Amino acid sequence: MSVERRRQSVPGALPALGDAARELVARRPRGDELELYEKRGRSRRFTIAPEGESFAQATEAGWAARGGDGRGSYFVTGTGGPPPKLDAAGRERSGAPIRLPLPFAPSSWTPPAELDAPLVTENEGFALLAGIARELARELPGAVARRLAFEDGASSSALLSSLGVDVSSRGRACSLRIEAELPNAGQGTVRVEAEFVARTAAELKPLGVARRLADRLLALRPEANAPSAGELVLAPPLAARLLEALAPRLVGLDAPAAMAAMEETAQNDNRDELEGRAGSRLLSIVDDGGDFRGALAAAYDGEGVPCRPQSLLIEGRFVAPLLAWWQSANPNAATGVSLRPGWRDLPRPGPTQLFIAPAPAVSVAELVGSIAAGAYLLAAESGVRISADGAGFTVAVSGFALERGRATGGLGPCTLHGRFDSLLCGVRAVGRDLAFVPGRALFGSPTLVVSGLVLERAAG
Amino acid sequence: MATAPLHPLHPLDTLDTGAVARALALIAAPGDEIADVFYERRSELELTNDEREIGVRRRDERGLAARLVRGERSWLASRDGDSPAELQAALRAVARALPPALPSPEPFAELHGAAGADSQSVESEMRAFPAQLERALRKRLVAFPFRLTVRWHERTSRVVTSRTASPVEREAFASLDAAADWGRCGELATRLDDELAERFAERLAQRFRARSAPPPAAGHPTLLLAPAAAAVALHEAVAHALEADLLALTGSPSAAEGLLLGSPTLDILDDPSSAPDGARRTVDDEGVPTSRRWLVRGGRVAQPIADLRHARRFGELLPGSGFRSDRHVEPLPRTHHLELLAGQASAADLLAEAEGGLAVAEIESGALDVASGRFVLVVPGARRVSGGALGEAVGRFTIQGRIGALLGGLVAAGARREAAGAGWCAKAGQRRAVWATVPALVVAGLEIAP
Repeated sequence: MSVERRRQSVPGALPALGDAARELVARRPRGDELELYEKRGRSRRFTIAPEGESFAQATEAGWAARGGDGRGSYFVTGTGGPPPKLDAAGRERSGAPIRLPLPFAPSSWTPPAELDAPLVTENEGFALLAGIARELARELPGAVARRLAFEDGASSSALLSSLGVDVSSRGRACSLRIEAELPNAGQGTVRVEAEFVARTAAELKPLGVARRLADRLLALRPEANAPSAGELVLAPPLAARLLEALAPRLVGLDAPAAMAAMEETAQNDNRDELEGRAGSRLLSIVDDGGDFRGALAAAYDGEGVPCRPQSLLIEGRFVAPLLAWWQSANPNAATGVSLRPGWRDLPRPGPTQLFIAPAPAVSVAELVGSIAAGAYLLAAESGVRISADGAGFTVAVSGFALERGRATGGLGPCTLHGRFDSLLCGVRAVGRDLAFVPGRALFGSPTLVVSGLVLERAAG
Repeated sequence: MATAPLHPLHPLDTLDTGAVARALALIAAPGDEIADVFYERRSELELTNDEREIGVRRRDERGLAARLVRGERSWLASRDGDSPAELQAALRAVARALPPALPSPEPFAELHGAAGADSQSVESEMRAFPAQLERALRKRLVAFPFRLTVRWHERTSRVVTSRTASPVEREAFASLDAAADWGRCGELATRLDDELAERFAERLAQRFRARSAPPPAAGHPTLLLAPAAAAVALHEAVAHALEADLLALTGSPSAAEGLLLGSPTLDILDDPSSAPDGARRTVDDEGVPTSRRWLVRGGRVAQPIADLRHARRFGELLPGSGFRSDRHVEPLPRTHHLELLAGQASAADLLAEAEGGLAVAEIESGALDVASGRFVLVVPGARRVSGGALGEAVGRFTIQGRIGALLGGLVAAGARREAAGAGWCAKAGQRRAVWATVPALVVAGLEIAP
């Protein structure tokens, strides 16, 4: 098949792979298929740490060729632009036959305006970090931001294949990571590490960031007892981490079996009201690599497949696993879920931007105000540990005790544990404040009210 | 069989270092400022035995990074390219006051075709390795499905400052990653040969046989750490704890010097120049000559691990341990090749000392909590020591403690040292291969938990 010039481009993206690249694809060995990928990126990284301040600017540019035939395949990458010919790589192949997607219908995705925003300057970047440190000290006297790191980046990519895929895409994202601490009245120091992700620095307001840090530091000072019963309000940073831990059960060809096992456990636990569902009617889970609310939103995935919403759980009912086009029974209907973080990386199935669908009409204040006795859990203070059987989880958390809808004091270091089926079934309310946390992909959730999980004061 | 490099002759040898140095002299003020350019070329060849996955994977890259350090501020500009134009762009990005013109080096004289036969030699060894490993497993009467990834890594680097140009440093080594239903197992080695196949097969066989064993009860059993396990434990508990940037979080790193950590016979070094052939370094990633650094001498902290920046900030530290995962990040104080001097215990002595305890052949992963100084090591499985021999298998558990508990609890050190990869260290998200030459150790008093 020859390369067709049916280019699907996002405005401002890399120019089409040039004639030399088209020539390279056209002159591939008979019987071969070949995909060329090119990516360029710029990033600026700012760090304020005890050892000093640093400002790093990276300019990255590289290409990748993925090709082969029915007998084997190869993957070759390098810096700069695609070479005029593939030397040794074009001769060696092994492993699986090459598998490349056919062209899909063009994406109707319109790039958000922020894609055109310039990267922050040196002064702006350090001013943002200094502003957060200053606001934290003002909000919570004694609190100190020990290490602050902010990275702002933009990228552009182009992809061309012998099967006719010819697309380009752009990305724009920034991340903020802060380590802060607060003396704990003669009992050492409480520490938090917080991560934020946004499309541009303008979304990260120093006062807002500082208040979130201050809340978590205060919550880690024990003032109230962990409630032995009651409902728990899970703020987005915690709920999103639990979704991240659950994600492997929603992705891939094994997902239906994993979800069926979870449904069966839920039914056996006398949850007749589930009516075959895996979770609460209030719970819907979606993966959408093109959703503007996520900072990694893009028109196409790492294989040139348009990103679209894919519902995995609708009103508590598991409807479909998240599959790449080559895993799907109907590849033409697949959504773009392949991640390709850089030109060195092979595309691998997502999730891309996996999130719990928010309820637009429900405010966080309503959710918190509705709790007679319980806790408002702000964030995960450790990674989520999965039990050996994969069904349960434990995570260190920070939060406040709630009585009649009001916070009555920090809970101190606590652990939250339970089973994933209990988490899905125990969702009692969903808020509208969708927010994402960075991980292997982006994971998002609004505030949730849940029951059926266990909160305990951490030992020691 | 020796493994030949993918690129035996390298263009970095021909770098016009004079022009780079002259350009740096124009952007750095004389005195205490650090100004350097780090040139880097990397190659990676990857093969897998998984017929469902894409076959040969080859990654080649080149680039540079210019850096300026002024007092406690630093500027870094990195590029995926090493042409004179890329150098000019990087220097302009870090310069605080731009001179009207910067000298430009001559373009590299590329050595086309130099990889040829040697590259094929590496590839043929890589292709042969899975069969070698299969044979070694069959000898041990075990068989199980697993996905094996064999990678060959090469990195060539050179650092130029306004006054000096380092020699070209070459690292070339293999990494193995086996993934089975019951867990993952990895190894670093500078040669792909039968000895490696036998060693890796033995680890896989032990892990396979212990896959369903119950974990040991929580407690404080005596632990016999094989050299590979001791390497990881010392890396996490000692090397990280004595890195200048981490020590600086609680005061001056120099304050740690003289601190008593173990018995007067305890000596631990970091010496990149004595790492296994293929991982050996004569200069660090800042172009500073490496040295035989005594971390612990006679049981006391001697010389923390430092890079240029920390050595200048805290005047009494010795640089030469500034390493970076790649050009896009700044160097950090890091261990490269840890050494523990041999003791006098024979294998039988070690087993006798560890009677009733657990023999740990390998540690899967480890981490040091900087704030508390507490380390956690994940052990995929071990064997009980009973009657002077290895007994029943136990399953996964963790070892926890602090540097003082590890070194203070040292009961015996083996007379025979082994050089091996200590694993991939991911300090600050920067992944680097680290190495160690250590004997087996018997340690009492560390806490274990299932």
